[in-house]
Amino acid sequence: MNKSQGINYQIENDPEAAILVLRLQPNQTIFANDASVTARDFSIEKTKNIDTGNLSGFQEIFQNANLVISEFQAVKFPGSLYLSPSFLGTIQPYSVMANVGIVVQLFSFLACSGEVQLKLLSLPKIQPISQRDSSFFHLMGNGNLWISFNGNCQEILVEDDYVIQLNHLVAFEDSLGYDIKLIEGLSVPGVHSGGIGKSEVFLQFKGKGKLWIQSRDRYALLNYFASSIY
Amino acid sequence: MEVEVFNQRENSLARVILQANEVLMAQAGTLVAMKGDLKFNTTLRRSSGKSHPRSSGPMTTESLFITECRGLSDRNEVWLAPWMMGNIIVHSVTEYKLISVMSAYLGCSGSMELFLGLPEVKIPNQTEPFTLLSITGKGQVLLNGMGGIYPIDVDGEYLVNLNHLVAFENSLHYEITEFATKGLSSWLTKKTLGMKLIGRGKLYCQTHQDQFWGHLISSQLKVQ
Repeated sequence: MNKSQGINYQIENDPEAAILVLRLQPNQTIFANDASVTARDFSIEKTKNIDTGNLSGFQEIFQNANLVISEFQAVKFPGSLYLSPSFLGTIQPYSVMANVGIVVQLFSFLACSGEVQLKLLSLPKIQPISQRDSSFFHLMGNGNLWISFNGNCQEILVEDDYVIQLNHLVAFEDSLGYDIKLIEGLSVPGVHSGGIGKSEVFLQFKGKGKLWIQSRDRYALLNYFASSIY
Repeated sequence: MEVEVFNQRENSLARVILQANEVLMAQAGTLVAMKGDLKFNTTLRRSSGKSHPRSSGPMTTESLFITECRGLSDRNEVWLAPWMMGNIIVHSVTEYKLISVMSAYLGCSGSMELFLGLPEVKIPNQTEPFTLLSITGKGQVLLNGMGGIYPIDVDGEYLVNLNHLVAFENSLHYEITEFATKGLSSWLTKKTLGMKLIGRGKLYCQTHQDQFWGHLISSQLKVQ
């Protein structure tokens, strides 16, 4: 059992079917991806859904992704909340600090403590390439954050620059700057793979900070079965 | 070329460190992250012979896109990840060449040679694409499997289901065999292809197979 910022939690990554258990004390609040909440004690109440209606541009993404962020609170008595990501993979905890924020891919966000400020962000440089892949959460403040990964999580410490494939990118610290990087020679001219999700989009991160990648492509399964559907 | 495999148990990632002028021949589309000064070139490799008696030319499945990654500065990093869930192993080729199933190939050092298709392997009534790669020279080969990959030190005779085969050393003599598996009812007999391996050498198999798993799900998918 781990304890930080007042929230007790336990993660079972055994080995890929991960589960996160949050044990809330009275008046403790968390924000969680509603679809990932698998069970909760009677003492935990869903206090509200975060209103996404006013966020123009994001509404469609939220509807398509069936993504609802809800607030859960232990009102009078302590209780447990069980969360499982919607895909096979692992869960990693992260402590959000006041001096550095973290930017997390929308679909990888699992839960965060109530003290963390959650802001929707569309990365302007990715937006023209893919509206869906440009949507991130920007988290700031002091508190806990739990992120889910498709496959395994790999932390990379960037000291000068690093190039990451967009479909494998999960989160990065906001101390890092990024740019779209065109890499020549990764495909044969005139041949298109025809997959879903642009696998040839790479981001170049610059500065000092950490970033996290997942060991499997976000669209791998979809592309595997795409030939059976179309 | 220095290879490190992370999360060896499930959904592995491989980090390859390339010094100046070292080359990695990776399966195209498996590059995840990179650092340093690197040059890339992607080519299409085709098999030279005809493997199927009915086909007029090489089958379309008998081709492989290879991305050559060349290190230009002192220390460069390339991260590779296969598409499907499963793990990665590293095999060092020293004495005997390695024969691998094409779908299991992830990468090898640039000093090695890749050949597609083994003309002597005849697969009866082939309906599924099945291509073997032969990897010669000295160096490291990265292989990925569906699920886990387990090594077997063959000494004598071994029979492997073709769908679970990943790779084997050429010191083993091999032949394709057909064996019948009976279903619940006696009239339901399914023919399964296997490979008989005789001699001494290393054999790699995978715990799962995507053909059965894929068919199970894709047969349920319909266009809306």
